[in-house]
Amino acid sequence: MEIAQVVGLALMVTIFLLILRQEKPVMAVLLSMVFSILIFILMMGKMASIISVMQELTRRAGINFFFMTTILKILGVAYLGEFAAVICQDAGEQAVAKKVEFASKIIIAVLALPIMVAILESLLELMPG
Amino acid sequence: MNVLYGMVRNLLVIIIISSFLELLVPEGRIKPFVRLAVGLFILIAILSPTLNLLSKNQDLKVNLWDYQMEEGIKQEVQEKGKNLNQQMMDTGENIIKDKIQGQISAVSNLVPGVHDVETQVQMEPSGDLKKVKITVRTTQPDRVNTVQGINVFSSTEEPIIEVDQKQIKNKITQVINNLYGLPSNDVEIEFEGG
Repeated sequence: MEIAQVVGLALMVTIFLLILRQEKPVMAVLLSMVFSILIFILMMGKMASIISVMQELTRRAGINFFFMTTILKILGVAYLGEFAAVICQDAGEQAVAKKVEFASKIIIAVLALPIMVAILESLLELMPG
Repeated sequence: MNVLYGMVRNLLVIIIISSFLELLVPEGRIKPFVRLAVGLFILIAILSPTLNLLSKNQDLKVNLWDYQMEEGIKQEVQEKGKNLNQQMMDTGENIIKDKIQGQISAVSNLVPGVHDVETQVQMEPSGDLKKVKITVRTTQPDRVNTVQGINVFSSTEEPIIEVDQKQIKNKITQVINNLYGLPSNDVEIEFEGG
């Protein structure tokens, strides 16, 4: 039961964080970061299996995997941005968290731009005149 | 009918994929952006087969994006590319080998006492010299006339100045070492009586 491991770890980290925040706030932030990275690594294998299923479904539906790759990249950027922003917020750095969110939004927009342009150009070519 | 059936089936898969993607979208301020991207993905996934059906001859951008080379053709092209690359490498290596062999032979011929030289060169894959094998032919099997001494005061023939095989070997090895930086261990010299 992996969820039991995650929950146990999370509870332990929470207790440690409660103690550390009073004594050493810097260490608390570090512990929070380590926990985030650990969870991310733990879930990496599961993510890989999800992606392989998605890949198979995309192939069956006859969709180019390029689009799927773009969407997965966008999801990755969103998750990483969210993680970083939450860690920054935990450390009390609201301004840095906002900047991380801003960067994530821009990167997502840039990644989604080619799909949007392709749709628009195709539709414009279809229209008469 | 088959086309319609295929489209409906694909549409179902696309809807399943997109609902799954919606589940994966992280909560937070970035969510609307990700949802927009997922929406665009659904749009293009539906639009692509529809446009294919409506206008088969039109070169649409979506079709171009959708273009996937068949696996068999891709492998064939890759194989041909590899073969071509190998051929080019082999040809280049042979040319370099010939030139180096010619150079070594020409230089070795200049060594006193050498009548004829045959050179064989082994190259590293990186293009460096690996080993040189030289077959030296001398005028006599063991003794080689190099410089004929001239005696002005006597008409009797004096013994000629002779250079032994060891000297020739040392000289050639030194020349190759100076020219190509090849250590003496990698230079193999054989003598053949001529």
